[in-house]
Amino acid sequence: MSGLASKRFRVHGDVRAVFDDMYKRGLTDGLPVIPPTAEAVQEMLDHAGLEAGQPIAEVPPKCAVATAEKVAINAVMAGCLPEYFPVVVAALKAVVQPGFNLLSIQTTTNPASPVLVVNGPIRARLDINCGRGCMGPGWRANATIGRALHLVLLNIGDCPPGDVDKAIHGMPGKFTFCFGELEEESPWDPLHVEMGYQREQSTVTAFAGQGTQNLYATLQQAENIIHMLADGMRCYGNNDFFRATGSPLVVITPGHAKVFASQGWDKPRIKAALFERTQIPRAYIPETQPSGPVYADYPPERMCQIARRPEDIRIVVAGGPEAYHITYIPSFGTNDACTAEIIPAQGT
Amino acid sequence: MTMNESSYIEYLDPTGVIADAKLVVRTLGDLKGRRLAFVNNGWRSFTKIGARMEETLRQEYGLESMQTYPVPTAGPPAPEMFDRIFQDCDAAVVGLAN
Repeated sequence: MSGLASKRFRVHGDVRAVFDDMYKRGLTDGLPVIPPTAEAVQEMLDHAGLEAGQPIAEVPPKCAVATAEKVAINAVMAGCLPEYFPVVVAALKAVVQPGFNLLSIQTTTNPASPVLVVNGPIRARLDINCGRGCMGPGWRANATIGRALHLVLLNIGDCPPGDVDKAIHGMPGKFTFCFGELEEESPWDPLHVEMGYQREQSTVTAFAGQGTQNLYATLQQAENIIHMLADGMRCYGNNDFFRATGSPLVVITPGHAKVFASQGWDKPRIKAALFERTQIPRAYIPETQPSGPVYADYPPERMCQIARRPEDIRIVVAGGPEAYHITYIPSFGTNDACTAEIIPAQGT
Repeated sequence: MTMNESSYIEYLDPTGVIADAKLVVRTLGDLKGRRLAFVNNGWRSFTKIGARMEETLRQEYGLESMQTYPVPTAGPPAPEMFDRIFQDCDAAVVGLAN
């Protein structure tokens, strides 16, 4: 533990006193934290085989270096098991890729937050929920991996909510937002294969989400499901339509995936249909938006699009088996979905 | 072990530090007789700030001129624009989204 370089705070009392102290220093998200003792942090590092001083990334807006030690401290606080740490590291590597546009997501007035989708064999090993309730509470891996990333962004990026984080309303996903793809129940290639990885690799893909929209799609015809889904996505108030810079995420159940597949629909066909049917004529959008002349150079008949190309609409299979609900996660816009490989911990 | 008989817990600071504080741009010292580039991404609030800024910098700091360079609201500007700024201006103020 001699390699740990972080400043140490000594608090008399129990874990409640530590939480009080950390909260007063602005080091938490408001929820209780596990005290990041030297022992706990070292255990996290040892499990991943990382040296304390190893740099992982620079985190905006402060652009401080997130060493493995600093990331491990925040992972302990979040309640991560040491086995989760490689996923947290990969999540951080995903969001600092230039295309993710993390500086803007950290500081914007929008309710933007990284949404993490885990793929590959590590999902089963860590008991990452990919099925019923995968975006909700109840699974330690989902809850704490997402939370660890947010604590990293808060503490290392120096982005306190209400101050540097200018989000007008914020959103619950700023506490945590992480789930896995139910690859085993999908008739199609999983997300990470689409992103250029092998099925046997484990990855984290980060989306810049702006909340969730449920579509109650108890429909049995693929054409009808597409009709309803496109209707829900076609909203020029979503930043996806910010000059077609979105990277929207559609999460469908295994049940809906089976409906689509059995009726001859694959991912490219679904994406193409959604891309086409979500377009909005420029004339439908008020010319003077408070944010500026976003479409000033568009003629009235030009169509505004949800993304640059159909491929930028991502489809993930997750959730309970019933073909009841679809979750649409609109994006912050001006950002890409970014993936990083999870480097397995030693001995796993 | 960080807990002892007097019941205290020692925890590690989770905040980041900037390892090497380095200057990434040269400083001007003052603005007297200088030419300023105002790189505006089209947000109306930033346009208003620019107007106020030019007035203040001219009157109180002797700024010679401020040239506005519009950039796309959502996307990077053309690289040639940076070349023009480097050639024509001594410093730049850059707008950041909202």
